[in-house]
Amino acid sequence: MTIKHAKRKRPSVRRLPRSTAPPQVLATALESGPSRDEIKPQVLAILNAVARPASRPVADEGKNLTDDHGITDTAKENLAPSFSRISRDKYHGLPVSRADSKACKLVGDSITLVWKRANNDATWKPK
Amino acid sequence: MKIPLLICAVVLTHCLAWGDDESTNSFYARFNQKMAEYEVKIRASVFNKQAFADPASFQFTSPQDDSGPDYWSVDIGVTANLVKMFASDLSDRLYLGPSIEYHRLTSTNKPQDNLQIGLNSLYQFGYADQFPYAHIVQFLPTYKNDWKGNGEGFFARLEYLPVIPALATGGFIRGPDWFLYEWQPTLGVQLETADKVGTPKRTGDEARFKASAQAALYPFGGKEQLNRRLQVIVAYTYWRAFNQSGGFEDLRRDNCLFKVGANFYLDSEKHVAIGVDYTDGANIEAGKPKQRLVTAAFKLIY
Repeated sequence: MTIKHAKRKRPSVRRLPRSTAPPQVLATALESGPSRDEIKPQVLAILNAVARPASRPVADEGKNLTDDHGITDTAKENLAPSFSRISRDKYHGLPVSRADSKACKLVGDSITLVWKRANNDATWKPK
Repeated sequence: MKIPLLICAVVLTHCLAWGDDESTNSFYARFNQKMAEYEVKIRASVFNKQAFADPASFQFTSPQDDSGPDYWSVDIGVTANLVKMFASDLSDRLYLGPSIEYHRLTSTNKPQDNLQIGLNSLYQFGYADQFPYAHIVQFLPTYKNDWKGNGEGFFARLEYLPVIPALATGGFIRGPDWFLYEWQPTLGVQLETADKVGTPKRTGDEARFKASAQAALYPFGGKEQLNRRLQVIVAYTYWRAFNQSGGFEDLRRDNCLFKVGANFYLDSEKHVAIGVDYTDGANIEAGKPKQRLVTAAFKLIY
């Protein structure tokens, strides 16, 4: 006598990627995330600590990180963990990658980048 | 002779056009965007990511006094960052990607033909803006083939680089507008194996310490019209072997390399340059024998 074992079906677990989350959930997340004005002084404090002394205080969002504040591409990469300290560690958002940090040209780009990542927005890229 | 000169003239003309009109040049903008997106880097050497980028160079020399045949040289390395593909959570601290580097000199006097393929990995500890600042460790395992030198082998490098903005290391520029500067010290250990080394040619391996200091100076770099387009790089590297076996026992324990060069970038994005370099010593990492020479070259950096 043979006993046929019925094939056990694995429970299907469907993982939804971040982008397919319902819009209302995303909207709630964005609403509860920090505002740009909240992020700005924290990013400026980081830039102020590393900028050329002659160019401090770092305040003008239109200033160029390299030409005006002496923060080269290598230095921008090395600032990525400092930016992630705000976006990921403090606001539970996404980390700021070395590549994205390097792509920032202006002070304002860095602020926007940290703000977007703090709000779990991975799509925004510095131009 | 005329054809290479013509090619150089065409390339330079294009570069100058890019530099003058890059904001409206969509091809140049899109190309730069793609290179940044995939973090592709093109340099003379890509294995030390934190070092001041020495642009990739292409040279053609035609001696006019019958001292020898024409010769050409190329120093180029390409790397890309793949960390986002499998460890995006670490993308703020980790750099990981394949790298390839090729150095070729066809001169009959001291020919060079060196290829290195390997992994470029970097991890940053700490924060650049807070004491005790950031510290970078690089691990670079590579396969190398030096057709004109030591032959095939394995070459691994472990390096440490401090990032202290107040001391102008880690890419943070300091100094007054008329004389900006940055520098980078590096300490490391290296292990190299080879299958055609010494006299007679035989296998061997060598372990050594490395210490290097590089400085980049930007005379009048803070001025609007010449915003860091002129760059002077001074670098000194010292290697000391502490363990040699096989064919490596026939070689020197100490090697040093001094290099000073000036680059003038033709575009404001600083990707294309013409430069002059003075080199004295052996670059054992790139398989370059001991030599003292002055070179002028067309350079490319990404």
